[in-house]
Amino acid sequence: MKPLLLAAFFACIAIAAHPQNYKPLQAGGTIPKEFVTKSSAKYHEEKQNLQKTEEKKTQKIKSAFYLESTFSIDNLLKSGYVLFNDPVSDYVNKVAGEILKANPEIKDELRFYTLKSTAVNAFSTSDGMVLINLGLLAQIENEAQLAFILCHEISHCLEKHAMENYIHKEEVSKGKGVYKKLSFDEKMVEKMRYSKDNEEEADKMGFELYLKTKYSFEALSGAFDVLQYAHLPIDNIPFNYSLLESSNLKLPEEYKLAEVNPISTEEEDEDEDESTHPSVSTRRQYIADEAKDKPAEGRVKFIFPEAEFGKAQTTARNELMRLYIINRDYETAIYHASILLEKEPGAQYLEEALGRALYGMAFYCGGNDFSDVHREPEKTEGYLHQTVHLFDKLDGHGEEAAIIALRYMLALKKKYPMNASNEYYADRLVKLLVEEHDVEWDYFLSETLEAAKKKAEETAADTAAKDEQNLSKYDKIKKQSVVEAPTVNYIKYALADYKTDSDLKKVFAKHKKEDKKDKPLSSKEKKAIARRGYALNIKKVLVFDPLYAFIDERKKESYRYLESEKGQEEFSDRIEDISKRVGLKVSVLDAGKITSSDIEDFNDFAFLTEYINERFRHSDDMNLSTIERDRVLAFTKKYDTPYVNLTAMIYMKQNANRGLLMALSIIYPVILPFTLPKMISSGKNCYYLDLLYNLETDELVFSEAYNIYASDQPYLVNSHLYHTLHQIKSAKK
Amino acid sequence: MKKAVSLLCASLLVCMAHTTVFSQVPGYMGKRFSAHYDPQFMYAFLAGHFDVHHNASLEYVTSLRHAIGFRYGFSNLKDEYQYEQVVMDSWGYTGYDNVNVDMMDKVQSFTIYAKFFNKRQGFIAPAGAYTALGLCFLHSKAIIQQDINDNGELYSNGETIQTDNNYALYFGKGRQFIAGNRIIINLAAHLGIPLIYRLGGTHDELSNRVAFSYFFRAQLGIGFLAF
Repeated sequence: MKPLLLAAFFACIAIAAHPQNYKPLQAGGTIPKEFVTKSSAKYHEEKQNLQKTEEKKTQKIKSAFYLESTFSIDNLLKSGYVLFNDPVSDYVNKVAGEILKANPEIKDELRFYTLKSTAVNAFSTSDGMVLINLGLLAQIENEAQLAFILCHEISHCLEKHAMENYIHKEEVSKGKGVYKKLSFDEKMVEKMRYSKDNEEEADKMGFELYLKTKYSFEALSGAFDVLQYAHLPIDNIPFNYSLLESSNLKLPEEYKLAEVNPISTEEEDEDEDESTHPSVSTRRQYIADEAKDKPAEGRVKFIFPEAEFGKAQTTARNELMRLYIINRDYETAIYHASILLEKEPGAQYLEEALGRALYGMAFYCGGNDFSDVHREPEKTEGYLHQTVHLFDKLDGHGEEAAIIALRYMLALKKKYPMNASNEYYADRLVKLLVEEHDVEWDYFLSETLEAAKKKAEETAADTAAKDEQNLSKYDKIKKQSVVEAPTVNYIKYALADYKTDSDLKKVFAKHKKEDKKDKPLSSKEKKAIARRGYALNIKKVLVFDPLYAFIDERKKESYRYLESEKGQEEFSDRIEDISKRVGLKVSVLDAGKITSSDIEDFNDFAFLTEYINERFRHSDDMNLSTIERDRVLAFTKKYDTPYVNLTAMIYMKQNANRGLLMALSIIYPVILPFTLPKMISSGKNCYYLDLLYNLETDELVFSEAYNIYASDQPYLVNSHLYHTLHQIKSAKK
Repeated sequence: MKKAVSLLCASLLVCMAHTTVFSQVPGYMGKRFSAHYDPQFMYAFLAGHFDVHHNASLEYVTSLRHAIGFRYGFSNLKDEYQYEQVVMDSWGYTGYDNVNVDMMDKVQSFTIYAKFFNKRQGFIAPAGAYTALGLCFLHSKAIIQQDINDNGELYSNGETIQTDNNYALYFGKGRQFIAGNRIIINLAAHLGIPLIYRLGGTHDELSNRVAFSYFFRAQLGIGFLAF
């Protein structure tokens, strides 16, 4: 017992020492039923509830809606991006409870969750689910604005707008009844009109609901401001360049921007016909008119303590930092960090997140994929423009971006010696410098930047004095107009503080040695792999969410949800069975197999989803991930393997072109045995894909893709799965 | 014949030795060796007969794309033999009459073959579509089944009147399906090209009969994946 108490005591001290260290948001408690119920079960239940009195065609459209919406929503719920029982969702639920205080029966029907998304948005489903994006929570100013948005979404839910929209769209598309004579463009306009009507109705009903609460009317206009400026970061303050600088690293003046693009204050001038929502100005005006005559006394912006809102918003903003990085929106992440560090100077989580954003950016600067992560400076409004401008300048100098990131990471390593992640990132940046930019240890000078500048000035003055003696009267006059300031290559002094660091010197030497060692595979080795496959000698892998999909392009609804779900279960079981035969230890993290009590598995699944989503965005050879490394290492330790396997089988049926084969077979019956199998199998294709990542090195260890010209017969699936798992397990002989 | 069969077996052994290099090859669920019964159905052009050639083969997967095998097969082909018999009529004149005798051409085949599975179409040996190439040694003998004696009565003869040895190359296209992880169903079509043609020799009839039956064959086989 004593050691436990001591451990708890020291843990408390450690936490107290780093009060600002933020932990990424995770779901908690029991997993809600709708997250773990099979989509097909939900669909069948909904289908049974269809009113038999309704017209057959309406029943059919509704059934199609249930099918599509149930599976799509479940995909989202099971992705790990939807949070529940976490501090932010708890707060949203609390506010929702306040709104529906007088209608407990409605509260019981609805469920409120938060969605890990940077988009400033909220949405609801026809079956009573309201999702608020973290991006929205990060931007709103007070609890009343959240309450209004919730009221709006609750109205959508109660009126089942999502389903109504679907039915209407189907009717318009099919040109039934009054829509019979409409042109394509008119049909589009009609669909938008209906959607706008629903939005107006939700605004109206939402406001009626809002009236029943004690929330203030003043806050409402602000809610529309949030919508209008949704494309901007959470604040508009100058970017703090000093975050990236040190005494020996000063960014050149041309990298800094004093004047930024102004923020357009004009309200959107979009053609309302082409939008699914009424314009912000129309909506703002409608609410203002409605609120005008209503008594505003006793109405407040916060019913719960303001600190609770602040806490939830800070959490959402911190989480946003992670999401920007995962989405490769590094420039916004860097600017976002600059804003948050103004409010919380020295916060470890933010400083480290900024380091990861710089680390990610360093890999892209100067590369072919730079435009994937770079915003257009001309189109960037406000002070975010400063960050974008900086990287616009650094694009031509990839090594500078990497050195700036390395200097920052070395400073973090010194500041937070307990976190090994910073050392890893620094190591990877040195590797990047050595291998991609041919920058070696000797490139850096030990002299301080200040001393170098002084020296350069003195040298320039000396030279000028000597030149002066030899100049004619007219040369002296001409020279007056051309006074050049002495320049030093600033980046060479960036690591002056670390030039005595022998460990860092060794890291450079290590990567230089490895760079020489790395050789591409010889043609002989490539041939051997083509004949036998790989032999990776891996003992255990974690199989992540095996995917099976059935697409029948001959049908109107080509994605076959029910068959895909069934196939997915079989595919997952097959992997477990075959891995046993191969002798490969396998843990399967399958969203479909998580039960209500498996909250740990759910969070692990969510973590891996984030990792994979980010990893997929980088090119295969980039070996880059910016997810918190301490979490990655804890994860690999838990599952006793750094290897994560992703496998997918997509079965497609298309219209087969059998005419030619049939004609040939009639003319020359002798070729029938050759053409018959082709005739039978044509139009059936399977795409098999397998990827194996090493989470510790972020490397794509193995990839295999086959286009199988046949249906998804079990023996073909087995054959490929066995081959893949065998390559992972077997050792070179 | 012994020499030819020994030659085929030696070739197979060379191939087998080659396969030890590729012991990492998975086969189907780790199984690479299979035994098959592959009857081949053929229509002998000109002779106008449907025939069945019974085959037993042993097959081994050597790489992701390749399998090699040895096949022994036999068939009894119906044939006719026509000869002129001296006959004496009731007036005591002698003459000649054409006599058709039922024959049985007993054919034995020894084949080594390789199957090339179509990896580009996503198939891994031994499952899926393949192209086969083989070299076959055909030993055949023609046996008289029923003859007519001088009294015009049918009797069983059993006399071997012709023997023939021939080689053939074959090219095949097929597909192997696997059921229950053990059973292989094999559908294929073969084109066979005998290498020796004997036109006008003493063995021409038997040789041609076998050659024509070998020209085109449809195969429906069943196999067992052993290990």
